[in-house]
Amino acid sequence: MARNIPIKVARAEKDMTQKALAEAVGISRQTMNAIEQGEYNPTIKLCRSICRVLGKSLDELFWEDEE
Amino acid sequence: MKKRKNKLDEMQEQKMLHIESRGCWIAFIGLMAVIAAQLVYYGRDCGNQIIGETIVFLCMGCYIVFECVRNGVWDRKFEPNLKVNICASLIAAVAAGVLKFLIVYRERGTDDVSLNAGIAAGSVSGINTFILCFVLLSIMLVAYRWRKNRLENGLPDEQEDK
Repeated sequence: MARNIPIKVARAEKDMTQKALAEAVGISRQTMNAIEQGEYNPTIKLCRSICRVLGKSLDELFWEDEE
Repeated sequence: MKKRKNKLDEMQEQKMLHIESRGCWIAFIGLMAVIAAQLVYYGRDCGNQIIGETIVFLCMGCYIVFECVRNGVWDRKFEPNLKVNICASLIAAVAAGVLKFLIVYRERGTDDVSLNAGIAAGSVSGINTFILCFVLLSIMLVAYRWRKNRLENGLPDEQEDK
């Protein structure tokens, strides 16, 4: 699984640390880190929570282009 | 009693399930090994000693099999068909045959008569195990197919369409 750069960028735009985002979403930092590193595939429910906190759409954060 | 809130997030929950799953299989294989070792070491007289292990082992096995069938799942890698059932029954038959051979051979001594008696007992035990396993697997296969069919065709959306 590829690393999730859009989450990292959106988090930086909001000036949030991994820990702050994890707390806002209600998960541990290790889970947030695993999502960003592409080591864990989150459920759609968690994806939506992350999108809501970062003010982005699912497409913007989780869509992967074919190439 | 008040139900405590789950303190794990979804990834931790998945990891916990993996750990518990591995623990379950370690216990399952460990119990099987302990029962087999006691049967070989103590022979037929160990009935009272292995009753606890056998009950736990059977409960675990029955729970896994019945829950799989109830939820319409068979196996991760193997197809639910006759060929796989025959192969699984053969493996069980060989294992039971070897175990029985070792029990009889150890009880009777190490002469040629004991060897022949061990082979005969092992063969009979192997054939019995094969028949028993094959019949049970066939029953489970029929139950699985019936249950899966029911789960697949009994979904709410399908009922609404009708």
